[in-house]
Amino acid sequence: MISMHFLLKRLLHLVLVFFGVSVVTFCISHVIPGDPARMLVGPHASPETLAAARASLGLDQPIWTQYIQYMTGLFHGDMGLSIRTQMPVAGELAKYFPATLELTLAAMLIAVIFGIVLGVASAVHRDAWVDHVSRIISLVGVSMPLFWSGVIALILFYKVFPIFPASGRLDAFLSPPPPVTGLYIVDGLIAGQMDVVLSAIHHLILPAVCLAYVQLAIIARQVRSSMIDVLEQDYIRTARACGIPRRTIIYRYALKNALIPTVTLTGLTIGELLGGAVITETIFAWPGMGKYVMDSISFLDFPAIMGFTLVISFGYVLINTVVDIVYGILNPQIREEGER
Amino acid sequence: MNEAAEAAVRPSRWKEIWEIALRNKLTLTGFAIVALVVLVGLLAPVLAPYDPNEMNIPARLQAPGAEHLFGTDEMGRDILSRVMYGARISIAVGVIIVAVSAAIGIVLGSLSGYFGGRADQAVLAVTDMILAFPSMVLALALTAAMGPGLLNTMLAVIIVRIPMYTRLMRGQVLVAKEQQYVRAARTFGEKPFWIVVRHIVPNCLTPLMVQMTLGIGDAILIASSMSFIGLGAQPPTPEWGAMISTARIYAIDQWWYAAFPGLSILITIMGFNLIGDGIRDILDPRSRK
Amino acid sequence: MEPILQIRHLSLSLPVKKGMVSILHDVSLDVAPGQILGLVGESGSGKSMTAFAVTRLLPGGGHEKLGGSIRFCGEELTEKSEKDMQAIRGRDISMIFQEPMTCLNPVFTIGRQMTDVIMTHQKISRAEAMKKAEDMLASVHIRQAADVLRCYPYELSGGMRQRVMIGIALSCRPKLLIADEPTTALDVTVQAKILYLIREACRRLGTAVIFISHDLGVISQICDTVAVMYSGHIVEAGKAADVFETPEHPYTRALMAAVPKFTVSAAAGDRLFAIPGIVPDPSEAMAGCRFAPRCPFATEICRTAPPSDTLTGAGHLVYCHNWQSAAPAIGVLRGKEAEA
Repeated sequence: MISMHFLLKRLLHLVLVFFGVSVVTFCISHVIPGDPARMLVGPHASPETLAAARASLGLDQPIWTQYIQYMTGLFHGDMGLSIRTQMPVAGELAKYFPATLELTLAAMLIAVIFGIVLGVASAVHRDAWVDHVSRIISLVGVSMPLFWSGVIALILFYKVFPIFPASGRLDAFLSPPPPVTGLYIVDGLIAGQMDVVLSAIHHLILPAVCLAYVQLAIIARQVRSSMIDVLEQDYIRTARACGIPRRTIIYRYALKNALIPTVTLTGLTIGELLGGAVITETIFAWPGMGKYVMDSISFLDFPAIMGFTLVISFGYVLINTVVDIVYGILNPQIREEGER
Repeated sequence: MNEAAEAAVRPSRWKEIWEIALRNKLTLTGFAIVALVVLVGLLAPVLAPYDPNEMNIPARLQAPGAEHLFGTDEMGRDILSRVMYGARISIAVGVIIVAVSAAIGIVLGSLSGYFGGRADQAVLAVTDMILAFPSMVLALALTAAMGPGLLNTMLAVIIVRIPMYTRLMRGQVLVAKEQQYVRAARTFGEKPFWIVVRHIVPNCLTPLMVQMTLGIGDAILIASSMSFIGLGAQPPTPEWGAMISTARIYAIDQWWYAAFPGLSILITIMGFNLIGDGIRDILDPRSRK
Repeated sequence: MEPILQIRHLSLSLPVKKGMVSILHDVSLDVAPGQILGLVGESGSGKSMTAFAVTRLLPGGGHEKLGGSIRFCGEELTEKSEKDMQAIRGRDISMIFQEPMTCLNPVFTIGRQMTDVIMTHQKISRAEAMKKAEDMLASVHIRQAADVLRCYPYELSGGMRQRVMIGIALSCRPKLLIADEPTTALDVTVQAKILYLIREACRRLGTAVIFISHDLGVISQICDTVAVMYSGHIVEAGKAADVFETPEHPYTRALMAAVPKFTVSAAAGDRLFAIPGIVPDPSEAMAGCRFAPRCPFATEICRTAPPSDTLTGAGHLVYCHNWQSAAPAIGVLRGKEAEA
């Protein structure tokens, strides 16, 4: 399907971007702050701790030595100690990672599936009521502050219409399923505990929909405009002139072309979802990395914040590489040339 | 000759864009919304019924009524007045972020696009690094490193947004560079700096205007998100995001506390989006659907 | 021979922003099996719209108004439902278009696109359809047809794509092929080969062809009969030899005068003739002949009454009030232009 050359090129690119990301995070933690050591240990640390931090950072060393030390630490999974909990940041993040993964995955599925459906419906029934409704949904979506939609959703669906729970991943009386993937829904299914699965879904819906909404709107807009564009292309006319049925033309011929730009957008979507998780997890008390970093912010727990930044960004870069490869699979021309 | 024609085209083109924009109902609505918000922000000291920071504990958390149209918060402050002053902050924050990041982006982008070479490579590498982060996460880390506060948040958002304008401008310049009027200017022996300033930049600005209009809404959104997280404007400031951050605890029972500041953000950003979409449709007839 | 396609008094109006605009007026045409009808005229004269009216691929979103009659194989096409038309397109009536670059779907292989068409109209398996597609490509003189089937459109040259298009169009052995400017976008050397291919296929399969072009040279090379269109009207029709040798309508003559190789007295240094004025906008209402404003022979009646058809020879029709009085020599036209 895909040439080795193309894959190797993407992987090389991945390594380069990882390097770039680490340079930026290094700058943020070592160059920008007035006193990096103070940032690492927090305002209430004892002078001894501060001195130790200074030594470990090697602030008197040249900058590239500091960078090598920083990278060596990262390679060993060392992101420092959390000021707030005095625990290694890497371990803490690992603990909260599955919850964030479950939330963002669910939000992504919702955004992509409903975004495409809405966009296609809108393009196919252009200027009909479906189109108008979906365009209003999209316009509100792209203008909606995430932190506000969360609060409003809670007021509506927890207070006024008590349909969904306000916080957590499971009902209090249930215990989490035996961990395999860390995703409660998947683990619940593996363990065959349907009550856990249902409760997990019940808790997941509201935060996932809130998180997804903005991205859903963006995807719907993109799909609508590229679908309209594609439907006016000559090759669609050719297909019609050959007597290919309308449904086949829309859902196979046109959609595949229209989805190519959407694939790239999905990569960006994931970045926005990961960033948005901080807000959504806070509002819905979802025990993930976002809530963890939010709690860290109020303590100015700098190592925790930087750890979060690194993990999220590496994940984002990784996902975008996957997206690039998928883009290549969908678009034969790119696949062959192996570059954008 | 060519150059004169270009110069003559430009103002009339803007006039044309403006005229088409005013004929479109949605774009017009966008202009009206933004004008209203700006006006309310400017006239906040006159319009606001109360001092936005005046506490009145006995009147705390009152529902909307004749005394307080939008109700009061946990300190008894008038939410309507705070929302009005918030318009000031948000518009200023949005405009400043976009103005500064676009200005830097235009300079970097045109230089790197026009001269190419090592400088171009370096600029591209740096923008690539910044774009590798989810924007919200990078802004968060930068603000945390510089210390919480509205000014630092703005600085962080500016840094995060520069690459977008740089890239856009660079692409524009690469195209414009090959145009006849630029070649003509080069053969006349004009200095490269003046070619860029006089011939290239003005002709690349139109697509940037769209991005900047949409960018103001986006900047308001990301800055208010930072305030919500607690890294941006700090509590007594009547910033919309910061207000909702405090409102979160009360919102379930006192809906108005979060509702009005949020609605203000939603409407303001929608206004900028409507204008941006409108101009884009005019500039790119393909997207006018 | 009995015509396979008989168009009588065809009129067409398309919806625009305000109301409808008339595109075709009183168009009548006959095409016989194995014969090639050339439809010639400037852009905007309604050539392509006539073709799209036959296949009902009109750009009006279903709001277009079609009048008159289109009889194809004894059946009335104007009364057919969209579903019936779908079955006819590609099976009985095929089309090829001007832009071979954009007429093939970029994300599917040639084989996939060809077999989709074949399988739409014939109940056979993908493998059988693939075999048929390969045979069809071989019959349009594509070597290594099996390899081409595995290619994506961007991997082929313009001429190859047009061959593939012809292959797709002929894959179900249609009774009528409509070729809309099929060679305009190609190099001259490739043009000749494609023309030869169309004529050969037409003779071999007994397919009737409507060949649309603005290029009189191309039309004269390939067509048996010719119809000249101007602003939505047929102005002259007849056997190709008759029309080219004794053009009767001032517009036809002017058109020929505009082609270098058709100049009557081709003395060196003769200026190339250009028809003064422009084609009237379709929305422009006119009481008389639509060519009158540009016609050097126009008299009062031309501006007040529409011309009816006059038989000037065997099967040679002309729609002009003054075709006899209008001086036959093109030299007069030239003189007029020189004066102006």
